[in-house]
Amino acid sequence: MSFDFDYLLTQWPALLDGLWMTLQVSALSILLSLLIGVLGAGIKLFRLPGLTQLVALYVELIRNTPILVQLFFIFYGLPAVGLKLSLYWSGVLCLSLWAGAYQIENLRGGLATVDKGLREAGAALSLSSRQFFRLIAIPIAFRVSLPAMLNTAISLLKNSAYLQTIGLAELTFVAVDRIATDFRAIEMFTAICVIYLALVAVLALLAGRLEAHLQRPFQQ
Amino acid sequence: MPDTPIVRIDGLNKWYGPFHALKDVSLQVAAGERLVICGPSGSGKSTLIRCINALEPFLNGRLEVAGIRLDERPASISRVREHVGMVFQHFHLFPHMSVADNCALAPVHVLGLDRRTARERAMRQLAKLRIADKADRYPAQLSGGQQQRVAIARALCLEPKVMLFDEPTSALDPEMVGEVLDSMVTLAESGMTMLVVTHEMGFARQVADRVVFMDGGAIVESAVPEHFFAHARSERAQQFLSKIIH
Repeated sequence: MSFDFDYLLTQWPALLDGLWMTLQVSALSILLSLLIGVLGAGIKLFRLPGLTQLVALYVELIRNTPILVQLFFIFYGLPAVGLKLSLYWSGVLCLSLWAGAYQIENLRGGLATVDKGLREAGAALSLSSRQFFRLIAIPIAFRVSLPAMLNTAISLLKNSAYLQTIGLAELTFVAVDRIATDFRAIEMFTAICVIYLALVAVLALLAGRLEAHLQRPFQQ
Repeated sequence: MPDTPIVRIDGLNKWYGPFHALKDVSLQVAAGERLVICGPSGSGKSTLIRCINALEPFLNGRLEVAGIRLDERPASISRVREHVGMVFQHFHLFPHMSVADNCALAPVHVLGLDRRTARERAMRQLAKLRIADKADRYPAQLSGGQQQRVAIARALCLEPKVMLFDEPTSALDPEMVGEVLDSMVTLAESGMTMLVVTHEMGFARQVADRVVFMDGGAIVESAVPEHFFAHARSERAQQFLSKIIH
């Protein structure tokens, strides 16, 4: 049995559907994970009582358990306590929570590089702590944390393949589903590998653009 | 001295752990007055001016700026800060923002001006500091002296009643000290109330209405510059002067 390109052409529409789902779920989850990252890092920076401990617990839980277990917990576990989410939202919630924990730590690293003097300068200008965080600390931290944040985003994109285990029709699901009927494993896995590589390349390109933009003020 | 002082400090005390950083400091500054505060390092001079805009909390005593009593309530702190501008030794410009945006930031987000009005105000102040041509540059692209002048413009954009300077020229290369001091002289001539922590005694002679000498967390002497330089009363001040005036 040789590599059959013609077979791939016939499967192209199905793969595109899967790609579209992967894109949607990943893009939305990347955005939500960044939001979680900013909120969590802010809570830690200002040491908000109670919430700081909660954030620390969340980060530990996510980092020290397998993502597959987290996904099953959300999709199979939560309905038992009355929280039943659709396939789509279970996937988004899982990926966002997973990556959010890492984004908190990534941003925390960036925030640690923000000069304490800038906080005093902000205070002397009558800016509130929240304004300082939003207008000064986060933009500066983003630039420093961007490479780490990109890594997390790439991992999120790759981890979206886990969502096939609960039956969400994303890229890997489509491939596995087709292989079950057509037995064209090498064609299908090659195809989705190439697609994942392309997606990561696009993501890295976008991050590179953003980094160049954020880097501009710091060039002599 | 004119009617009510714009800064009134009564019996201020501050500790860092067991270290008594400010000892019963009392000081009154009239509107328009220019004060130079000097003294050996660790004498509490920076701590004192940092108390005036609540960058440092104090333990007891009374501090009033423009008739507003400073206490630990956020509302009182932010009201006082709106009247008090501060210039730091290390400039602390926001590195990710252009010079104009550094200056327009507080007018937009604190005073609520629209962006255009804030930008115009920023450009006016930058022009006064003769650095308007750098408005669209970023801090990293400027020299230390230029950055410090931008920092002065940024503080002035809130139209403060009092300006605090915490060793504004100590971090500068020697050839840049002059341009910053010139800007401060111009500001002084415009009638701004200024409290300046500095070792630039030439500036003190030229501009100051009063020199305040601190040592060990207390004000030891307070006199007009001619008097202070010619006949410092305390031995500690005489020693200090002999070390910094060559």
